[in-house]
Amino acid sequence: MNPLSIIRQFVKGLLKENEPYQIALGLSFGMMIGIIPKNNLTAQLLFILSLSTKANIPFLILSIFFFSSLAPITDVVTDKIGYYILTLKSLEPFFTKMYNMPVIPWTDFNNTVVMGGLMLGLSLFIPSYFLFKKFGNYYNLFLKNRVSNSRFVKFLKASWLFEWYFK
Amino acid sequence: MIRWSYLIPRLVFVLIVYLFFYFAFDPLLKWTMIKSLESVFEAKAEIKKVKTSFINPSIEIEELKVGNKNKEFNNLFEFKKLKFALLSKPLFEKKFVINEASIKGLSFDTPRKTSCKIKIKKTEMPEFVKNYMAKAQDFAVDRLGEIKTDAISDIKLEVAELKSVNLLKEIEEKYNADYKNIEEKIDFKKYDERLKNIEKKFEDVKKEKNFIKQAKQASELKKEIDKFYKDFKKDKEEVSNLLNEVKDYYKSLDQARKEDMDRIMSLAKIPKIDSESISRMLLGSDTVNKINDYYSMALEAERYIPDNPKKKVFEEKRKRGRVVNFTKYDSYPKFLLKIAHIDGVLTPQNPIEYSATVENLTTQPSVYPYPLKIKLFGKKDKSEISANSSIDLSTDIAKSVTDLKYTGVKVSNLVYGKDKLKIEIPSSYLDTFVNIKTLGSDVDAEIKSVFRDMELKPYVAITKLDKLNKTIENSLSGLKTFSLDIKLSGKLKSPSLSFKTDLADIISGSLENAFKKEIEKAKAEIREKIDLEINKNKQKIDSLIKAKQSELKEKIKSESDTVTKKLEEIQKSLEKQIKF
Repeated sequence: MNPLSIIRQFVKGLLKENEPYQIALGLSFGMMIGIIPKNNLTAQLLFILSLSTKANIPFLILSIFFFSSLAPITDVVTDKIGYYILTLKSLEPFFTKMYNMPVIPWTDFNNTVVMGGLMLGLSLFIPSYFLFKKFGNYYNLFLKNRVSNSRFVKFLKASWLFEWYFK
Repeated sequence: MIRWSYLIPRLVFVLIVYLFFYFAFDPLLKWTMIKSLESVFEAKAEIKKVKTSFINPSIEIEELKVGNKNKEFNNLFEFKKLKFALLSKPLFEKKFVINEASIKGLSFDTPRKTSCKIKIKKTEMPEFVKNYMAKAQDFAVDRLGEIKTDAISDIKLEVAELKSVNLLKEIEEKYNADYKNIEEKIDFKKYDERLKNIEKKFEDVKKEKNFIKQAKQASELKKEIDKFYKDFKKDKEEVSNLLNEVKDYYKSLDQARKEDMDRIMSLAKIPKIDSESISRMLLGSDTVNKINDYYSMALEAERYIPDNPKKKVFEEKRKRGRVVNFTKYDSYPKFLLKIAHIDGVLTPQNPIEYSATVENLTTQPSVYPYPLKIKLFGKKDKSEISANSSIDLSTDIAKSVTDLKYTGVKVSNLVYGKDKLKIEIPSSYLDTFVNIKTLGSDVDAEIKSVFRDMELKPYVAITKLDKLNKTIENSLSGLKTFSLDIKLSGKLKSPSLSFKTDLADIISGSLENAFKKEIEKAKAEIREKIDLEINKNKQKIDSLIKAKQSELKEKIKSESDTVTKKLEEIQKSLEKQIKF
């Protein structure tokens, strides 16, 4: 995917496929992915899952960047949650079995931040979805026009290259 | 809710990947394997079929042949079928674990219809092999050729360097000096004064009228005469002794002559060509080439052994969070072959059916700390092969012990050496015993080969004398057995090699025998020459000494006679006087 195509997709995403639920899905998935480390199968699977849904991609990406930047703060919480879960005696046989399964160790489930982030993300997913849905409505009512009328988008739309590319 | 526009292209991609592996992976793997084998063995490699399965990960290789770079129309080895299955679970951790593998029909040195030569960058010969080959070539074949002149003709008798001749000159000088000294001592004029004194005292005795006084004076005079006699006798003896001393010069001359003889004879020694050099010349390059092949293979294998076997392979650094480890039921190294069963017919020439096992082959011995074990056994009629090897790389200092016994092997058309010294063995039986021990970077290996029931055709042209060459050839051609001992020791990277073969002893012995007579003859000639030189000088000194001695003796006699006569006269008169 060339840089122009990425911009096109991004702008397209900002202007189309921006139903409130789509924005909410994008932001919620982005939040989940953002708070966990990315170099593992868990993050990759979540990303594929989020892209497989009709989640708004620009908001997903923006959300990932935003929550990743908060990682130093969220890690303090997720590390503790993850450590608590991973050291639960009752779950030890289950985790040991997972640890000895093929592929599963690639998910880094035994990393405290991954486990904690996943648990925190899952537990916050539904509340955040509804919260972000409200943001979606707000965006469509007040921000969408501002974005489409912004100089940057206008510049892109006006450029002959952009037009040609969109054909 | 589902974005099909995203999912469908990815599912298509997965399908394409699957189709690639289904249709194109096997040929691609086959090609890669052929190229790798060709790069390792520097000869053509062929594989008929490679079949892989991903559901139950397994590989089957059919009819693999690897050419022998040193024998264009021979394969180094070939096998009919190799089959193994990989454990799927470790594969997800990028670990290749084979519980059991089998190789059927593994044979060595099989003939091939097409040439196995390929254009490939040759592996550079290790430094120690290069050095050894240079040494073997440098060895003086020419020196052997020149051996005849070295031994006899080159011995030149330099008269000026002969100790005995020089000593004779010294004797002459010394004698001349001594002669002067003796001559001076023979001069008895110093006694004249004392004689005069005695004569004067004798006159006084005669004049004395008082008989008692006269008797007393006569007694004193007698005492003085006795003392004179005594001194005179002593001087005379001393001079005689000096004269006799000349005879002692010859004692040292005998010693010098002996030393001259020994020194010259040492130059005329029977040429000793040490057996090691001959062994090297005869069998060195062939054997070292073979060792070089195995050494190159060993170095290639070493590439797959991690530098630091103690490296912790599971330790991974994580920037975020902590890792909680759980019990790992099976931890495998990156590559592990638990056991491989191999069977086949060894070589077409020695069709020994054998079976072998290779156990615990791994690239990470620290993770799987069991020694690599290789066992092999095969027997047919009187031929037998057995090998046992244990290689432990899991400890800080890697150690290995390998024993190989390969007996009753029929070999034919072997050629060792070249040009001036060559032996052909049209047929023979060969027994080989190999023992290799390594400890860390040190190696200590001994390879003993015994050729028996052998036909041998020697070609010897190492000396300029045809007769001598023929003698050596004759002594070799009757040979029915000979042995070759190779010792390899020192550091693995640059071991030192030594060769020993009784063939070399035979050649050296033949040379020695052939030279014995000529050397004895030469020795007699040299002895004669030295004696001639000594006698020439000795006669000169002898006549000089004789002449001088008779002259001195004459002088002593006359001087002594004069003194003695005078004294006797005085003594007689004195006795006569006192009687009156």
